[in-house]
Amino acid sequence: MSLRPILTPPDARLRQVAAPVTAFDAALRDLAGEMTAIMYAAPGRGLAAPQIGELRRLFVMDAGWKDTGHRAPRVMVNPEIVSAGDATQVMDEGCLSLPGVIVPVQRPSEVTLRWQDLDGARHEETFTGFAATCVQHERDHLDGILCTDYLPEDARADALAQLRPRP
Amino acid sequence: MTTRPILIHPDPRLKKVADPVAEISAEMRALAEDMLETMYDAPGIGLAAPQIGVLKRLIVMDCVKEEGAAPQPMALFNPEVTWTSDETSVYEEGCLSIPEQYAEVTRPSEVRVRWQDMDGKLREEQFDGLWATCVQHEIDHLNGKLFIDYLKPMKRQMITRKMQKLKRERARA
Repeated sequence: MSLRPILTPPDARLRQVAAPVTAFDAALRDLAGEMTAIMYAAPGRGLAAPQIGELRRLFVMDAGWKDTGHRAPRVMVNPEIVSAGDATQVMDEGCLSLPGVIVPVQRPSEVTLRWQDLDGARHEETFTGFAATCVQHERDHLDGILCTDYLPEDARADALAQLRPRP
Repeated sequence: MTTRPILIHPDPRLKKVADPVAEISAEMRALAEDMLETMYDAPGIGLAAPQIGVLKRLIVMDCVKEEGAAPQPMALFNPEVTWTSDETSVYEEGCLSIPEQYAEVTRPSEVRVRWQDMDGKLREEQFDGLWATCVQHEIDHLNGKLFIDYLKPMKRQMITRKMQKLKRERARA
């Protein structure tokens, strides 16, 4: 069995604002499980629901599995960045919706994220380093923002010229 | 380990009922390893032996559960559904033998499955979520059934025509 495809531009669903999750039910759990499987199969470190056409505010991430070989998937529902540090970092970002594209993006190097888990319980945690970039990148997808949006116009055009079809 | 070519629908081997695996020999275990590698390479979350042209009752899967899960590559010999829930769930399914085609399929949301593992040991487990859908999708392959068989004839024929075209293109390439 294969999994449903990850959307790529110019799919309009990548550009929409996703709706808050209100029902913490079996269907949500199933969706999170499916997103996790799609993320690992891709293979990637994060995937937001709009990337598979589900306009709901959740993402899955596992920042370290490619380095450690150990999978520790996390599910963040209705995530909000409640504070960000003044210091920034530039990281090369890739995106499962932008195959072939790698772009340097400057973002706060420390952010505090508040979210709900699959049971609706609230959590808050501060992320630094790669994980900080990852949660901001995924959180952006829920508002229809792609990492290439942060580039100046000509650099963005160059980056998007690298876009290739998903294998 | 080697990856093996995956058959594309329509292919008569995808419509046949596969034979039970009588003995889980070294050869059968090597086949399971090849199938896992082929599945990861595709990439997919499940693969049945008939999809690589081997008409044996063997499936492999790796669906991940949400929290704190280790990778779970599984090889299931002679799998059998022993119980299905009344409750159903709908997933947008795809198949490595029907590339780039997806459709919603309704299936029981939980199933119990009995099978023999790599050591020949009999195991039984209950599956839910994506695992439940995946294991039913793969067991269907052992009975010559594809997910498009659950669709309305018009949609099924449309997908089959697209696959015939894809195979012609691949043959020319």
